[in-house]
Amino acid sequence: MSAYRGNKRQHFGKAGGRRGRDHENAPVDENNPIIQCFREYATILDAKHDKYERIVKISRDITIESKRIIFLLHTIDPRKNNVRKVCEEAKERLEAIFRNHFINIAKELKDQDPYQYSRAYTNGMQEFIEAYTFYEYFCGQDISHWESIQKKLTYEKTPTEVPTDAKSTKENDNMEPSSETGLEKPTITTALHKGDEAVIMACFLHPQDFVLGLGDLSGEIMRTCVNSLGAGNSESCFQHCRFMQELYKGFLSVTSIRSRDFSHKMITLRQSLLKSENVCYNVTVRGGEAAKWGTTDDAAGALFQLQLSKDDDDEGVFF
Amino acid sequence: MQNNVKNIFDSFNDYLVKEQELRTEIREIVRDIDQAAKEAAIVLQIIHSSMADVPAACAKARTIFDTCREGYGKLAALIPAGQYYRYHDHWHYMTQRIVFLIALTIYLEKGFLVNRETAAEILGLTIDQKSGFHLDIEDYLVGILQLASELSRYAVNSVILGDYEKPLMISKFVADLNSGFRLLNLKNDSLRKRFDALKYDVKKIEEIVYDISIRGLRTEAAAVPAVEPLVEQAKQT
Repeated sequence: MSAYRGNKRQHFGKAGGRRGRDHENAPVDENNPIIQCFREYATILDAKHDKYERIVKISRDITIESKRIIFLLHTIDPRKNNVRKVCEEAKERLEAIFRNHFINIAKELKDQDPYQYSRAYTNGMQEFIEAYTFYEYFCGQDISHWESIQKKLTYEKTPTEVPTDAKSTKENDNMEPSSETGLEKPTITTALHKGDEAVIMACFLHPQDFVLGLGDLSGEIMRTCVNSLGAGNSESCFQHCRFMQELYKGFLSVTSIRSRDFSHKMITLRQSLLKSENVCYNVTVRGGEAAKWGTTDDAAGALFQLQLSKDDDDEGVFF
Repeated sequence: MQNNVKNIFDSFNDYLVKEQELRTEIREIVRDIDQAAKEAAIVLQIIHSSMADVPAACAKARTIFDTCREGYGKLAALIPAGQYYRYHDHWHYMTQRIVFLIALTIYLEKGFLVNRETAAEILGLTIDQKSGFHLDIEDYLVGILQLASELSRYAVNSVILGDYEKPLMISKFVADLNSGFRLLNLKNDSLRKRFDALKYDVKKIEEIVYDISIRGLRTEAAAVPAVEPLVEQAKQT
């Protein structure tokens, strides 16, 4: 290996001569103003890319943990009477994500334009929203508005270091009332709020991520719906189904969104909805006992699922 | 629970509508700036056909940059703090082009590369992200890469116009740019793609230098010793 390397170097040396000199000398010409500028640009770009990668990494961890929590929630079974226990554990783990992961993203986003890095954590965020709302749904709570989740994603910290830019903070504070509509919260203003000693950092939750997360939630509800049929409590199927109809209505009401993901989610949502409606249909027609068999893979089920049967894979199952 | 879902989607719709309105306003301003930038681009095209008119064209371009600056001021006032990158896609092409035009103007006037700070200053922006509306570094770099392509064309045309010294200067300049860009660790994004095209510009200009040298068209070979190695290199390739 080392011998080979040595050869290679020699080869370079030979070919180098006059020609190699140009190539190697050019970047080393540190006095050149262009080179000096570009050294600076290189550090800026590297810092940016590194930050992005770090956020992506955290986002991946969030995705994995969220999927596990969803799995955990699926183990809820009224027959075993474990609702409380599972919900407790899920809550614990969701809080842990807030504590351990999102705070790190918030740290990375401190003093940054959150939109610059929003692509880095959009996947983790959506998965997390799915897990979180699923937990809320299961525990019989209302689905949170994204603002209340955003509040949970906002961290107050007694600073180890003083906020770097006091002046711009003041300006931001002044601007806050005017631009603050309650709906779109410029996160930098919250992130930089330098009133008392505490520094407020926020991991910005893009409302669109929230809604897309809700779209994912529909898939989980559909599975719950089917599962609860299998478990014999056909009553709850109707509830689940109603909720999904509501969700679908909500999705339909959204206009003028600039996202391709959204229409994709729409299609999946519709399929999930049809499936759970089909379950409810079977329950009504045959009574809970029979439907358990009807909705599996036999002909009756296929009849109602029609074209959907071929691509009705449940997403979010594998990880 | 059902009301709740409706609530969420209602406020989501409100949110979207507000965003949409802001985007419409942004688009209008951007269109105006873009129009001005186009004028500047047209004015600067004179460099390819007449050497004597270059200073006048630069002066004209500079007045147009003032117009652009006003436009950017309006944009900056419109964008809420910390949301620069939310709407960035509306103006990043335009900004790249304007950076290119500024860089070209300054190269024609003074012969050096405008740095990011100066370019930002001309547009009334800063390079500091914390100040909200700033000149994004990638936009700046893409603008500089566009400059290289334009200079390769300029080199051709200055030969046509009988100026055999300019290609040598341009060659040195673009070679410096090239080695500058080599210092950057680029991700596999649009900047990277744009950068990959730079080598063709370098090659093109080196060929021009080669053509000039081999025919002895340079008035004084010793006048620009700095480009000697480049000529050498061109011969070998």
